[in-house]
Amino acid sequence: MSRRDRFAWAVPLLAGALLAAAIGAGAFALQATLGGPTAAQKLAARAVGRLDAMREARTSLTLDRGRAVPAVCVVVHARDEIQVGRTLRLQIVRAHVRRLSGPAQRPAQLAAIAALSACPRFLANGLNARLRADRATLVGTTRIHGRPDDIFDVSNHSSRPLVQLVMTRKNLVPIEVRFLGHRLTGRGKIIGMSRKTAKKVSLYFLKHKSLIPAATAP
Amino acid sequence: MTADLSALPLRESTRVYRSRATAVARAGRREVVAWWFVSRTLVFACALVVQITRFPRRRWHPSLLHHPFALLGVWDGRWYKLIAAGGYLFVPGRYSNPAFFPLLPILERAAHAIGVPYLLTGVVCANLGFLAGLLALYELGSELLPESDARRAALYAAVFPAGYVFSMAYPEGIAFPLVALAGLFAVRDRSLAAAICAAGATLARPEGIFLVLPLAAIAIRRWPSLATSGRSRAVAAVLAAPAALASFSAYLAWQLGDPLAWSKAERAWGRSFAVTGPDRAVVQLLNASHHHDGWLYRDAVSCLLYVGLLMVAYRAGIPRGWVLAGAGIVLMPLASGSFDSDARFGLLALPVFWGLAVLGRHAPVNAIVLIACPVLLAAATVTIQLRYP
Repeated sequence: MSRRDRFAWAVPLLAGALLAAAIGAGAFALQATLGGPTAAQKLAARAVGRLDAMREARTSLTLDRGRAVPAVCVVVHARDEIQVGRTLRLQIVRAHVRRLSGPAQRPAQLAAIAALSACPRFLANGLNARLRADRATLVGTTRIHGRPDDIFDVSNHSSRPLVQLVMTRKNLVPIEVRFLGHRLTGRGKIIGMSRKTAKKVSLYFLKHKSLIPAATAP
Repeated sequence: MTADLSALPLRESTRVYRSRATAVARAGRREVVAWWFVSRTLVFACALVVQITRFPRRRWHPSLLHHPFALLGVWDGRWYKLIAAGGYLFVPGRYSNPAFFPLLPILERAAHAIGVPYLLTGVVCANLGFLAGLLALYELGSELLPESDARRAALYAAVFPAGYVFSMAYPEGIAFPLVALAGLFAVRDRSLAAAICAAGATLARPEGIFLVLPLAAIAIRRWPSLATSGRSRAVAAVLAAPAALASFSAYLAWQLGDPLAWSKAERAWGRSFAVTGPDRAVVQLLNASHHHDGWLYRDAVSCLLYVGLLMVAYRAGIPRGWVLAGAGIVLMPLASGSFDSDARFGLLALPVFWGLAVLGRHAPVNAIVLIACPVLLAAATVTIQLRYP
């Protein structure tokens, strides 16, 4: 048996594989006719992933140039719970804000406080909804600590009130939330929170569950 | 009408046989087209009734004038439209579109470029594709079974309860004909065409990858009688489906930087392939009533039915390659940890219909299938809004 005969079986395998590769290349070319995501969309998708990885946020929020009030948002039983100052306590279920305790607020003010508390999941949901609806997500750039930062629109609607999230361009760390309503504007500066503190806060919320009125208890 | 062919000379009798076979095949095709038309009319009529009566969601009221048959574009239809409009985008941990395969969006985008709406393209492609698929199923079945069985299989497929999906903007309507045509071309020794269809089927639905099994079986059986060029084409037919899958991964790597984005995106829907997948699927099924997820039983029952019909097909002499491919299509989703949508996935397992056709040799079974299936098809169409297919 000659050397050529010995390898005769390999020829159709090789040729077949090449033919299949050509078909695969054709399939790739066909897929390339689909549009790709923009750089802004890719960045927003990463931002959603970054926000989803966060379990809590601490902010210093200011409404209409008033004095700064500390706020903490943590995820408790799959809901976002917010403590603003010493008295006001809110809960976000999906996109609805509910006052659990503390002084009564106007609906617009309640929405502003909830947005400025920078609950990571709330912001991520807003950004993700805009991505899925193919609406603009990256609306501008700014410089807060001397470094370039990106401004994302996380609002439900295209009109006011607008909720914007500022994240560092380098590491996509959320640093500020802005609320731009018809008559109300505000700003929530996001302060880093250690894991230990976050756990403490979370435990505090769980321990004081009895503060939640019976009608709204899960 | 019968003829005593033994009285005729050999060439004459062959001609009579051929003309009779052609006439039978023509009648079979006509019947298949008629059943396709009747079943699709039923689905469209039900979709229209749902839209007019706003069942079951009163808030869902798309305009009949601007969005006719909007029901056929719901659920995954929206995801395919999103891909067609803006391409793939992977959002980690969230529902995102790389979980959906690209052939349908490619067609929708191409038609949109000439002004045809996405949804319309999806629905038209699915329905016409299904017609082509039924005819191909009939022809392929005729190569493997008696003509009457092949005809019944195509008729049953036309009215199969889960077959309402073939009228929706879902890729099953285009994957089904491509799967059947890949088999038909391979059986008729047209391997290159089979290769292209296998690649197309895999680009439409991941289940297309299982075409490797029947195509490999056909290639192995024919190998000794093939010339080198024929063997090359047969090898290409076997490798075309994996090549198409690899091309999708390569495309995702190029666009999103992650070749496995499609698999990762599936996780948001609670699907991830693992050895413990079937266990998780059974646990999920056992807890379905606690989670008010009674619809899961529909998929589980379908899965059991498909497995039973595959066994019938195997015993009726359907080649093992096809039966194994069918088993892969029906059972592989369980490895991802859920029975969810298995009724839909199993529609691409062609031996299921051949198995049902073999059972339909008994007149009562035939009557039951032909009466019950359209009723269930109508019920399934009416309840589309209650549960995704």
